[in-house]
Amino acid sequence: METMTNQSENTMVNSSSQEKLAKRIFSSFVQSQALILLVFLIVVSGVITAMAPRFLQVSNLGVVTRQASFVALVSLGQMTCLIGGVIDLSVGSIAGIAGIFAAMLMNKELVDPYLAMVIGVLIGAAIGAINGLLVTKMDLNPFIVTLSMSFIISGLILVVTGGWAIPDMPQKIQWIGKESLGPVPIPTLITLIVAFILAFFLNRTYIGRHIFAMGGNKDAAILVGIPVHRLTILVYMISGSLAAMAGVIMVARLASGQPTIGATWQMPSFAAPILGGAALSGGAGSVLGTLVGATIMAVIQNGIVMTGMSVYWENVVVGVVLVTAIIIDRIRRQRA
Amino acid sequence: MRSEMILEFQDISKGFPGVQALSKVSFSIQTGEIHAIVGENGAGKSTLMKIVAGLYRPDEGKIILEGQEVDIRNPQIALGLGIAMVPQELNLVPEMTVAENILLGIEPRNHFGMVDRRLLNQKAREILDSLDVQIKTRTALKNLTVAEQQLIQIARALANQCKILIMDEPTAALSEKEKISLFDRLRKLNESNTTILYISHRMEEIFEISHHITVLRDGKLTGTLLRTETNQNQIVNLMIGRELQEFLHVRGARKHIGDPLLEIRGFTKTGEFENINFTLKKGEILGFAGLVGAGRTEVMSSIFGSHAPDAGEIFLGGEKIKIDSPIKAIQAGIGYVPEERKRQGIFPVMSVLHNLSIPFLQKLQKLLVVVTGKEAEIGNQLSSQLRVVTPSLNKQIVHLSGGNQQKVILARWIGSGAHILILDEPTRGIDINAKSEIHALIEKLAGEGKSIILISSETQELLAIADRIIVMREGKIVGELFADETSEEEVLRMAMLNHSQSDRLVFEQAAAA
Repeated sequence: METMTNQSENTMVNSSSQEKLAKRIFSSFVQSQALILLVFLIVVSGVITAMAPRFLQVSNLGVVTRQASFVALVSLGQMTCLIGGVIDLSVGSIAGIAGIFAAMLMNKELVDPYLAMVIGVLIGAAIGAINGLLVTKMDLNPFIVTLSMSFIISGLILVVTGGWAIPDMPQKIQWIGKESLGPVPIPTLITLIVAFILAFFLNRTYIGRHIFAMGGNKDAAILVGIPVHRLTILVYMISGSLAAMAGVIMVARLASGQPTIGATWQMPSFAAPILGGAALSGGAGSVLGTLVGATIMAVIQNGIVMTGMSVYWENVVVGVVLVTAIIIDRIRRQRA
Repeated sequence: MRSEMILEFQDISKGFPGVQALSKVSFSIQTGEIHAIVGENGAGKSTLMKIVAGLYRPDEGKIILEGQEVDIRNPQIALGLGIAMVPQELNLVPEMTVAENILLGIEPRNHFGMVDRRLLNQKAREILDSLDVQIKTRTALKNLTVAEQQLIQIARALANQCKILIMDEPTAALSEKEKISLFDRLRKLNESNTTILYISHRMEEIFEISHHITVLRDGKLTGTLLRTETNQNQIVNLMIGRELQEFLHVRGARKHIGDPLLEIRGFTKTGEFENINFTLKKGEILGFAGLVGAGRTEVMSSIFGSHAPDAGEIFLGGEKIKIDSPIKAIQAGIGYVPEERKRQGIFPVMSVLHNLSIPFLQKLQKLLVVVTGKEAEIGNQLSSQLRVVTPSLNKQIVHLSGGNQQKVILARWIGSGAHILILDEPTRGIDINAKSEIHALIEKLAGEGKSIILISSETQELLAIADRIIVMREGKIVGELFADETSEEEVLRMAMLNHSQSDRLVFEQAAAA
């Protein structure tokens, strides 16, 4: 398992063993396929730059990473589910309803805007908990449960908004979506912090290890005393919270509560983790790989705009990337 | 009964990695007979039947069907040749009707190429009538009992014009009454000239229904006998005269066995096991013998909390405890090494170390974070103690041999501090050296005061390392023996024959002597 934490630990090792260090970084990169992905990212970027040199401008790279951060957050949640051996088809709509709910609270000035955002995230966690309870206590199929949940939520979004955007977001919170710290956009910064914490949780704590074990072999996990029900609920709560977080940050960025928030994030949420080494069969996944995967998705989306292709191609490309990712996953499993 | 041969086996051999399942088996089946094929677990009877049904291909040898050599490459060809199998796990479609199941794949069509439902039900009715079965053809299969479903599977074989019907342990899930009615139908089928191959390890049944009995042992034929010219005693002798396996490990000196530790009372689960009572003492190795399907694994997984029984009590050190999940069992100090290592034991993509430390990670944490230094230290200590052969503890466990994987799983429970270990077939599929290492390890653990329940289908293994042996048969405990006062023969007789019969056999033997 290659992770951000592994890498950060590596960089802390003192310089006397630099050669060893370089080797370790290299081997862990190859293991996670992050290296292959990075090469792929560079190639794609190169092609786009050749066609549209503006791509490499600092201002555009800011746009790309900002764009990537939303998909990355949602994908990190999905990745946690995949590691635990389940799937969450409701992340897109959870992002939507969390954003709309926070926007309504802010629009009506019912609570402090920051508190409104926190409430939005908690709603995401609550929906995740419901998903988890249905899957474990009622023993229902994760695919159907979360797909139904997705329909219920996206329907509710239309019911409460009537399809209209919620305007007039307070100035106070908009920096979260719009500002940058130096060259780094705030949403990107938030995503990196979340990614760091998640990587630490999954790879260093015993609960994280239990999640990997549960996804790797559920029957064996039960027999070594891992509380699989509780952990399944937990991974859905993580997934719901991260999706909701992406949704409320999007509200801050757009300065309005759009009913379409999250609608296009579902598919990339699979593509990014699987490109980054997560297995559809469970038990594997990498935070760093998922971040690179999400960046690839954003670069491709941005490239479509930059090279002047019709934006209608976007869905086609996302679909192709997802299928490619699944094929790579398949080949990887066969070799193992 | 005509005496010509419908099916002949000539020098059939079949090997799998690590075992020779069949070696040069030759015998013949007469047209229109019921031919029983018997043998211990792993004797090769299922393999042979799978070859006939086209599920496996033999490495060597010929199959002659009605005088012609045939190559049964797949189940479709078998069906085309008139050979049908009723497997233990029935392969019917629960959501379809009885008629649809019987004529699956050979449904009558109307002029438009659609299924002719009227004709479908009519044909199915005719077949069911010929079997004296009253079930309605339009009933959904899922509403039938197991015994009824089995009849539907037989009806399907008839619909495919089968000449040879293979029945694999057909009575395993049937009540006495259902069994009698199945036998009536099999006899009737047989009278209308269907040859039946009947696999079972239940002696009474075989003697009740068959004309000839073929005995396999360790993949070799030990005899084909006419039922009227033999007796159960002789058949059992043919089954168990197993070549003595070379056990590298020899039982150590008698160790001290302490007070009763774990007491199981009245464990019952309908259809699986009934009124199971036993006591495990401190430092004891308690063996569980029995044939596959005797209910040993089911009892143990109930004790471990992963499979709730209908009734039963557990006492630990004299105190009643409740175990309704593996978590509770582990808290009570019980560790479980499951029968199917791949499916229930290992975490294939995780490293050796992570596989080892998984049940006691919580003891290695500080503020939720796993103290990896301590984890590696314990991992190194246990893996060298158990002599796990691996290039590194960080290697994925799937790359290790079966024996080394099993050692890692044992190390898991030693590390967790379990004082009761339930080991279900711990040496199955493991090479002889690793096997004897594991035997030595089990004895060592018992010597250190751990109490061990050992399920094994290898009676010789139980005789070599267990202190006491409990024998199970058809969900019940049928005997308890001291390992150093019994023999393989006695254990197997108990596992295969019911009490009155084994008593009679002892009497017959005494009379013969």
